[in-house]
This record gives sequence, structure tokens and C-alpha cells, in this order.
Amino acid sequence: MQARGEARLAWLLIAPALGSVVVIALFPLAWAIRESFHLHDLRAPWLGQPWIGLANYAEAAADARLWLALAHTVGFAAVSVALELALGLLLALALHRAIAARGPVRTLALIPWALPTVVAALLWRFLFDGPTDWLADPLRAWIPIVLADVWKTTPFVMLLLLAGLQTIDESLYEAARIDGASDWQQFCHVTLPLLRPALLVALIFRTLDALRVFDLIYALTGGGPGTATEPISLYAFNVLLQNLRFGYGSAIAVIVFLVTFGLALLYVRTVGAGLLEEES
Amino acid sequence: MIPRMVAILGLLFLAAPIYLAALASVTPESRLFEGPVLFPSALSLEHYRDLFTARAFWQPIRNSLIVASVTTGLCVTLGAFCAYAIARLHFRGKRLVLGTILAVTMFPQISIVSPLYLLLRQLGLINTYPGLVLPYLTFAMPLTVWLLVGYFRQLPAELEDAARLDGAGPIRTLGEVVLPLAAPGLAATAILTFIYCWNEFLFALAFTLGPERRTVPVAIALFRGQYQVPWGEILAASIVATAPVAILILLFQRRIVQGMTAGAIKG
Amino acid sequence: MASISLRNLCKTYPNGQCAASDLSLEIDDGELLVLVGPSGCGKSTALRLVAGLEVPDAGSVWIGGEDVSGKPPQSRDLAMVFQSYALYPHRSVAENLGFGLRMAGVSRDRIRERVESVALRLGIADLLDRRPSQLSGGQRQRVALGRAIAREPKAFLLDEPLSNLDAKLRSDTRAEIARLHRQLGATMLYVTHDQEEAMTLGDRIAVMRDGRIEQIGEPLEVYRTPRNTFVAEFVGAPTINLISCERVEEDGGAWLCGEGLRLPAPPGLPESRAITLGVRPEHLQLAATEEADLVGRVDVVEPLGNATLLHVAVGEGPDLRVLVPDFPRNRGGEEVGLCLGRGAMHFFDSENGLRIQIS
Repeated sequence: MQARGEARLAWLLIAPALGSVVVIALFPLAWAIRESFHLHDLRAPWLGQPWIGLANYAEAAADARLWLALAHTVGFAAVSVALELALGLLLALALHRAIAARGPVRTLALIPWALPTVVAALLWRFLFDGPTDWLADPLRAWIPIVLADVWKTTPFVMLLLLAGLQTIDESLYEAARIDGASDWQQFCHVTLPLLRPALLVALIFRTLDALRVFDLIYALTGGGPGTATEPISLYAFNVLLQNLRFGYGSAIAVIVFLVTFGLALLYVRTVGAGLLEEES
Repeated sequence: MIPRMVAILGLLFLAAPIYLAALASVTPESRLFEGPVLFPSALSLEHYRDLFTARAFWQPIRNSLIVASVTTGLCVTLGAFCAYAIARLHFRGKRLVLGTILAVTMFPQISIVSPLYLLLRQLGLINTYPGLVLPYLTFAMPLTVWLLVGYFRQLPAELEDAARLDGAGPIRTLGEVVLPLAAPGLAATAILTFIYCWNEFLFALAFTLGPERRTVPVAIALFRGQYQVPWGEILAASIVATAPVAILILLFQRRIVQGMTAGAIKG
Repeated sequence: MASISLRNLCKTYPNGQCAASDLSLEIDDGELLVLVGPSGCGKSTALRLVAGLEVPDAGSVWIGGEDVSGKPPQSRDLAMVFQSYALYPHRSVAENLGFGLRMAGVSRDRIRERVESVALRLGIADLLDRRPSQLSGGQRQRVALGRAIAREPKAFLLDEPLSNLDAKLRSDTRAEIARLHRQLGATMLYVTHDQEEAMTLGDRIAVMRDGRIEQIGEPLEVYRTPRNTFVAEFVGAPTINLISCERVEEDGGAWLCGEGLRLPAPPGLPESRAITLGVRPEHLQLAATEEADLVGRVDVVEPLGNATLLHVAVGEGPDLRVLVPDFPRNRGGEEVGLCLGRGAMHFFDSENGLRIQIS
């Protein structure tokens, strides 16, 4: 009686939000999966869109450029995220102890996080393009890329961890000090364990974002020189919107989805289950 | 001592590129690549002038403002309804709904760019404002819903009980009691959504065809010079692109940080 | 005003906790009934079931002779006073008071009239333009009461309204509520964990435990003849003393023995069971050790001002609480004798805790 009316109202309120998600995200995803099993080359429309089973995936498995792109992406993610977490933690700890003027500091710290990624990319390209020729070097071109990513996202990690640090009860440190713990021991036994939830959240968000990197590299190196800095999303982009091979591109897109989403699910299952729920 | 030095170094690292870029944007073309200087000797607004005359930069600004504002308005409204239902009403499938919406945050956008392109083309929405608002709405919605669910949940439930007993149905309760009290949370969400829309690149790149509908990030990325990269104008455009965001941050930094860290810390 | 009737209400929470177990209760029109019990006994749940804020698994709620089980809270025409007052922080006191009337579509003039008269009655007329955050605890409490009164509902529900007040305010406000009840002739269902509030306010009190009503009746009746050890321990302060005894046949007679106690067993006590003897601290008197029923040593002396509470160690059981008019602290540790008031003894079956009736 009451309950049913309430449920109906609830669905009414949810419908627009859920609807947009289903139409704009889920439906295209299903479509991409479907496309990946077909041949669909927009440059050769006379070929139609025949079903070709796993042929696209077979091609993907043999595609050296794809594997290179995956390697780039995973490597970039590993290095960047590690640096961001470390630097973010370091800065959070330093700010927690040292600086009193929270407002201006936060404002300053937030700007790199808040500006468009392509702007950040262009800033760093400007800083490196004039004085050095690293952008033309296949290995050294990664340095401005990683720097730009670290520069842009460390504030997020730092603020997250800083907030986490601020929730740790001071009296725990006092108790540890009275018990004779050194600074390092206090860090290991009080700070790190209590910071664990925040660290995990930072880790999850940053890893997922790093695996999806696109804007940054598009604007900084365009994937170059050649394909030396091409991440998987940029490769998919090229195949889809430049080579116009929608079938094969969809297969790559599905692979990217499986990797990213699979990792996300893994994280959620092992670590984040508590983070997602809070039943009243 | 050490913490202070580390903190200062860190903040310098964060501030330096912006300062240098701002500096370069007001350096005349001829002196741009003379080498790093801390303080300029000559200042010129030529880049900004060219930006708004030759490159008609007001166009992408207008486009970004429209898309971001409309998306923010829709997102916060629809998201608030959805979040309220999830936070306070009883119905089956709640976990599935929340999970589905949140799952979208983990989508790699590249995976749906081409089907979305085809879908929008079918609907005749390529190179239009709605063609951007719809995808943005979808991808900004999860964060909005998550933040607002957390926010609604920590409002004292007794106030809503009191309103119900006083004769207010669920909708009136939402309007008279919950939303006014949730204003700070709504504001934080709106700001974060606006920033997301303002900065979004991939969809804007894929779904717009020309300067009439291009947004700011795309316009900047596609700046081409006649003989070389027009750094002066690019950097000037970058400063202009950063300005609205910087102002929002200056005014609302506390709210923004609360929003960013809300779901994360409390869990 | 209307009567309230709870019929066979059952409610179990997902975590398995049973909040209402075949709960039935009749509250007469104009009566103030107090639901009292320890935390987790289900009294707040019962209140919320009446309000419609929770839906029962089984059973029904009737208000004024009408089954309201299918109606949402906003249609039941009840007013509730919350423990935390639940005042709308973004609205002024006047708007808070008039909120329910506004929801009901009453004209603005009528609302203003009503709000002013209620505010006058409660002594908050000069606070009408303030926000709740600018009020003291006691003032907020009055606004919460005022909001309920302004609506002229069928009945009032009060959920531990005094818990957040300090001791002095609590007794003042308690008197206020009693006065209001008399003046309005209102039906009130009042929930509290404080047995003193229950005793002083209720026309009748209902003692609850684990979703069930253990005993219902007028306060003094419950105090004088508690149905079981739980009710005996819950009602009355300081807490009743419970002594484990046995009925023993000796020296040609029947005796009640336990923890150093030896009393002639009253006739009518069942022969074979273990007995729990209950005697309230105010019914124990100090006596010379030779003439006493019980001898013990004074462990702790607690001067309360108007009387003194002694904790006396006897036998192996817990200390006995004894309320005496006066006892100097320096006599702590002394040996004293205790006499039990013969007419004030309660007998309970040790196994099931139920009262044993003696003629």
C-alpha cells in the first residue's frame, strides 16, 4: 500500500538519470560489442557490414601496434600512479604539519587539477619544446608526458590524503609518542593504516584514469614521434575516426573496455565494496 | 623545517608552469624563445588581441559556457531526484541501480565514442549543443548522484520524518526541507560538474565539426599556425581557458574539496 | 482527540532483531500512556509504527476507530515531538510552528492567529522571528511542542522529548507537559527509557522488553505489584533488591533462607521451587543485629541529600541497596542489621521470573 506507492515514486525520480545512462552509455556499449563482430569500414561501404565472427579479435591479437599501445598504457599508468601517490602523500604530510594558510594553498593546488587536460599538456609541451628536443626522442618524449600527468593529478591525491590525515585523531599520535615511538614508527603504525581507505580510493581512481589517458597525449605528442608514445585509447581513436574502420576499431574499444572495467571490478570486489555501500 | 621546505617546493612545482605560461602569454612574439626569464622586460597584449580578433576565440568560449551551464543545470536537477530516491525511498533493485550508474564512471570513453557518434548522427545531433549535452550529462551523472546520495544520507532523517508527520508528501518534503538543506552539497556538485564539462575533450573532439560548435579545449588543441606552432596565442588561450575555472576555485575551494573527498573518506 | 489502538503488530528488522512481537495496546481518548523500557526494547519502533514512519510486517494500527494501516504518515493527522526536536533549521520559529498548517492548506491569516496563540501559551512569543540555531535547548523543546499543538491533531506522539535536556530543565518541562495534557485533554503516547518520567506523567504505563509488553497499568499499581522480576527491577528507584532464596523445612516449620537471610516462610509459597525475594531499598530498615532478619557490613555510603543510599554486603550475592534517612560516612564498614518490611516483600519464581501470588 504505502510501500508500493513509494516504490513507484522512486522509479519516477530515478528514470531520467538512469535513462540517460542506459541510452548514452549502455546501449552504445552493446552496439560496440556487436560491431566488433562485423566488418564495417566506412571507407569501403560497398562491402556492407557482414558478420565475421572473431576475425577482428584475431587481427587484434596479431597487431603489433596494438600490443605496443597496451604496453605504453600499462607502463605509463604504473609509473604515473606510483609517482602521484608518493608525491601526493609526501606533500599531504608536509602540508599537514607545516602550513597554516589552508585556503590559499588549496586554491593554488587545485588549479592544475581543474584546468583542461589539453591545456596542461600544452603548457608542458611549451616548457619542453623550446629548450629541448626530447619530444622528438621516442623514449625521452615520455618524460614531459609523465611530468604533465603527475603535475596535473598530484593535487587531487594530495587533497584526498590531506583530508584523510585530518581525520586521524591527534591523541593517537600522542599515545604513540608516550609509548616511545619514533617519527618513522608513528608513520608506519598510526598514519599508514588509518590512511589506508583514502590511499586505496586514490589508487583506484588514478589507475582507472591513467589507463584511459587520451587528452594528455593527444595534445602533447599526438602519440609521436611515430607511435612511440601512443596509448591504447589514442590508437583506437585513430583506427575509428581516422582510418574509419569501425568494425576493427570496435574490437579494440571492447578490449580496452574489458581491461579497464575488468580491473575496476577487481578493485571494487577486493577493496571497494565498503566504499560503495552504506545501507541505512 | 623539512616539512615546510617540502611543502614550499611542492607548491612551487605546482605553480611554476602556470606562472611561466602566463608570463609567456604577455611576452611579445619576438622574445618568446629567448630563454627562461623570471621577470619580463617587455609586456604585450598582442596575443590576447589576436586571440579574439583573428581567431574569434569568443566562439568556443560561448559554446563551452552554454554546454557547461545547460549540462550542469540538468545534471544537478535530475541527479538530485535520483539521489533522493536512492538515499531515502524504499524500493527493490536499489543496489543494482546505484551500481549501474556508478559503473559508468569506470567506462573508457573511447569504447563508446564510435557507436555514440553513429547514434548522434542518426538523431541529427552532430555538431549541435544537445549532441554534447547528452553525453556530458551521462558521464557527469554518476559523480553527481554519488556525492548527493552521500550528502542526503547525512542529513538528519528526523527532519524528513517531521515534515511527513506535518502533512508533507515525499515530493513536498524534498522541495521544502531536503533541497534547501542540501544547498551546499548541490553547489559543490554543480561546480564539479561545470568543471568537468568545461574541460571535456574527447567527446567534444569527436562530435563537433567546426568552429561554430567547438568548445574551448578542442579549439585550443587545434590551433594551427602558418609556419610554426603559435605558442603566444595558445598560451594566451590557455590562460583564458583557465580563468573561469580558477575563479570558481578561488570562490568555492572549500566546497570543492569537500565534494571531492566526501565519498572517499567516509566511505 | 481520538483513541489509538495497536493490534497484533509484528516487526522484525533485516538484521534479525525483533522490535515488535504480537504487540497490542489500547490507548483511550484523552489518556497519556507511557511506553517505557530499556533501549532496544522496541518502544520507539512502536511509536513509529503508529506514526506510519515504519510499516509493520503484520498487524494493524487504528486511530479514532479507523484502520489507518494503509495510510502514509502525512494523512494520519498525528503530531510528533522528536527527541532531537527536528526543527527546520532554515525556517524561523513562526514558520516552524505553522509548517503543518501550511501543508494542510490553512489560510495565512488563520495560521498567523494560531501560531501567535500557541506561542503565547508556551511563552515563546518573542522568539517568533528567530532561527532554531539561535535558541537554547529548552526553547527549542517548546517550539517542538508548539509545532505539534498548533496542528490540533487527533493524538500526540512523543519520542523521549526530555532526553536531551539537563536535569533542571527536564523536571520543569515534565511539569509543562503534564499541564498541557490536562489543559488540552489530549491523547498522548509517550515513549521514554526513564522510569521516573513514566511514573510521574503516565495515566497508565506499559513496560516493554524485546518487543513485548511485560505489564501495563497505573503507575502505582505497577510499582506495588510488578508482574515479574524485569518489571520490578525497571520500575522504582533505587532499584529493587533481588535475593535468591529457598524454602527449607526445619525445626518443625518452613523457613525462607538465602544469603544470610532466615525468615519464616509465608504460607502459600510453593514448596519445591527456588524463590527470588524482592524488597525495595526504601522498605529495608536498620535494626540492632540481634533482632535483624539479615546482617551485613556497610560497603558504600551515598548521601543523596534528602536520604542516604547504603550498599550493604551480605552473603555471597551482590550488595543490598538500603535507603535510610541518615547515615554518617565515617560509619562505613560497620556491621549493621536489616529488617524487611513484612508487607513489602515480593516473591518471584527464580526460574521464570514471574510473580508468585501470596494470599
